[in-house]
Amino acid sequence: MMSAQKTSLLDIGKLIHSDHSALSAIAPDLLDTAKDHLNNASFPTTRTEAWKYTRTTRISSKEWQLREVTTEVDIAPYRIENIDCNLVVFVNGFLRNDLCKVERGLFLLETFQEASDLKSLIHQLISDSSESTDIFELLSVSHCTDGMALNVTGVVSKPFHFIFLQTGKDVFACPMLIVNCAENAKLDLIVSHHSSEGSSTWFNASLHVNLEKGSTFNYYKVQNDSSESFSHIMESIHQSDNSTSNLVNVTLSGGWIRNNVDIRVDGSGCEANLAGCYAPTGKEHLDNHTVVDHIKARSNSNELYKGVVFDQGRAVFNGKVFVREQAQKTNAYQQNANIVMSDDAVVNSKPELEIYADDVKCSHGSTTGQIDEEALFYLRSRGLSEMSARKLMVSAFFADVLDRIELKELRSHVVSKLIENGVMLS
Amino acid sequence: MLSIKNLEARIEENEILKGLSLEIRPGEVHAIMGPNGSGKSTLASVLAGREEYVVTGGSVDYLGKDLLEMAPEVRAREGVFLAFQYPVEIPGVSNINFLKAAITEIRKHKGLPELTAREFLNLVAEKSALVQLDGKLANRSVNEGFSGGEKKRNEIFQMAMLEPTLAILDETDSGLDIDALRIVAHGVNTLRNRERSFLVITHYQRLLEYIVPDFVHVLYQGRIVKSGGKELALELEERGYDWIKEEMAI
Repeated sequence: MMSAQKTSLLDIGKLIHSDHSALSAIAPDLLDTAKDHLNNASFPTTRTEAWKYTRTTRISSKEWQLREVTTEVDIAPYRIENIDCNLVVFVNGFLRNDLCKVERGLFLLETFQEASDLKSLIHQLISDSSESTDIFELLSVSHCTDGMALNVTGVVSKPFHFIFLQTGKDVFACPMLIVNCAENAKLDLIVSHHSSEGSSTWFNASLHVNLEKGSTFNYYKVQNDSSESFSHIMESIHQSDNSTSNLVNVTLSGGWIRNNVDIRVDGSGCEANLAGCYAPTGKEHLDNHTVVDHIKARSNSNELYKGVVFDQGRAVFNGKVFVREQAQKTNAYQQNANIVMSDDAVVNSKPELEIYADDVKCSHGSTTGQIDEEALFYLRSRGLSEMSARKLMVSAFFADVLDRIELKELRSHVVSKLIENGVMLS
Repeated sequence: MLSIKNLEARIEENEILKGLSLEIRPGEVHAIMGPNGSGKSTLASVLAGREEYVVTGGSVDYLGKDLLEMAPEVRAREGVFLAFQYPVEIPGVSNINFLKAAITEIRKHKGLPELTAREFLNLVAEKSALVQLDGKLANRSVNEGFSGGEKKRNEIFQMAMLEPTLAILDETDSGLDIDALRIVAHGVNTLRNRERSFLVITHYQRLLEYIVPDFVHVLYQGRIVKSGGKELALELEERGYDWIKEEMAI
C-alpha cells in the first residue's frame, strides 16, 4: 500500500472484527470522539517522517480478532524468579482476575469495567488520546480490550508486575493501563510482554502515567515476543515538580516492535531517566521513538539507548528532546549507541534536539559501529572463543543500561535471558 | 617444543619473514633481537595467530602439532601466550571477569574441572602480588586508564594466571622505567621452570640483564642471521647492528 489511504470505521470493522471497548461504560464520550477521529485517520506510510523506517502494511493488510481466553493458563514461565511482587495478568488483552495476586497497600487498583473512584482520573489521562491523529492511539481508546487504573497514594514497597501474554492466531489485544502517583508516592512497575511460540498477534498496548509533586515512578519493561508478533506500545508520562521517572526498556525479542515513549517534563526539579537495550536477530524489526519535552525550568533528563543488531535485524532509534522557552537551566543528555554484528544488519539512528531556551546544557550523540577487532583478537589470544569474546564485549556494552535496573532480581532475570538468547556471556 | 622451519609471512603486499628457522626446547629462554623493521613483531603476531599476517611458506611445529592450523584461542588453550607490545584497552570488560572466562574455557579444553570462586580469587591474589599489580587494577576494565607500566605488568599478571607452556614477550620492555622493568622481569623469572619456554623479543639489551636468556638470535631482513649465547646481546649493545648488516652484505 503506497498511498496513505484514509480509513473509515467500516474499514476498521474489516480490520478488527469487533466493536468492543472496555471504556464504553465509563467513558462513552471519549469513545465517540475516538471513533469520529478514526474516520479521518489512516495507517502511516514510510513517507510520514515518524514512520520512515517502519512499515505498517503487514498489520493493515490482515484481519484480526479478539480472543478472550478463559481456560487455564500456566503463567509460571513468565514470572520473575525470587521477586516478591503484586501480580496482575492479562491474556490476549483481557484481565485474568483468577491469575492475579495483589495484596493491600497504599494504592487503589480498579478495572475499567468497575471503575468508580478513578473514573475522572481515567478521563483526564486519556482525553488527549481520543483526539489523536495517530491511528494506533485512537484504537487504544476505541478498541480497548481491557484496562486498569492504579492510584498510588504512598510509598509502595512491593513492586507491581503486569504480565501481558498473547497467544493464538491473528489475535488483536489492546489493553490500557493508567497510573497516578500522588504527592511523594513511589511505585516500582514491571511490565513484561510475551507472545507464545507460533502465535501471531497484534499487541497495541498503552500506558498513561501522571506523576504528582515529589513522586517517583520506576518503570521496567521487558519485551519477549514471537517472530510473528506485532507490538505497538505507547507510554506517556506527565511529570510535575520534583518528580522522578526512571524507565528501562529491554527488548529481548519480537518480530515487529514500535515503542513510543513520550515524557512531558512539566515541572521544575524533575528527573527523567530513560534507557533501553535491544538485540534484534533474524528479521526482527525494532523501532524506538522517544520524546522528552522540557516545559519548565531546572529539570534534568538523561537518555541512553544501546543496541546490538544481528543477522538481518533492524533497529530504528529516533529520540527527540525539546527544551521550551521557559525551560531554562535544563540539563538534557541523550545517547544512542549501536553495534552491528553482520553485514546485513541495519541501524537507522536519528537523535534530535530542539532548544528554544538559551541557558541550558544539552548534548546528544549517536554511534554505530562494529566490534573492535583488535580487542577481539586480544581476548581470543587469552583463550576465549570468538563467540565468547563477542558476547563478553556485548555484556560490557549493555552494562550501563542494565545497571539502571534497580530491582536486582529483575536485573538478574534480564541478564539470564540475554545469556539464554546467546547475546551475553555468563 | 617449538620448531620453526623456513617461515615466510607477509602483511598486505610486504614480505616480512623470509625463511626464518628457530628451535626452542622445553625450559629454554630465547631472545630475539634486531633492528627496527627486521620482522620481530611479525614473528610474534604470526605465532599468536593474527589474521592480517599471511603465512606463505614454511612450518611451525608446536608440541608435535601444526601451530599455524590453530585458531588464536586454540593456541592459547594449548599453552601459547603472547604478551602484547601494545596491550588493548577494552572499556567495560573487567580484567577479572575476562580472565575467569578465559581460564574456564582453557580448563574445559584440557578436560579439567572449573575453578571454584575461591580457588580463582586465591589465584588472582597470588599472581597479582607477583607483579605488584594493585587489586583495584585487577578489578578494573581491561587496561583502561592503565599507565604504560601497569599495562605491561597486567600482561605478565595474565601470563602468570594462564600458566602457558610457551610465552612470547613482544617488546615488553618498551615504555618501561627501570622499576617497572625490574618488576616485570621478576614476574617472568619466577615463572621460569624446566617445562616452560620463553621467546623474548626486544630491541635493547637492557631487558636481558634482568631476564637472562639461554640463546640470543639476531633477526635481520626476515631471517635469523646470527645466534649465540647471552654474550651476543652485550656485543650488540656495544657495537650496534651495523656490523651485522656489513657482515650480511659481504
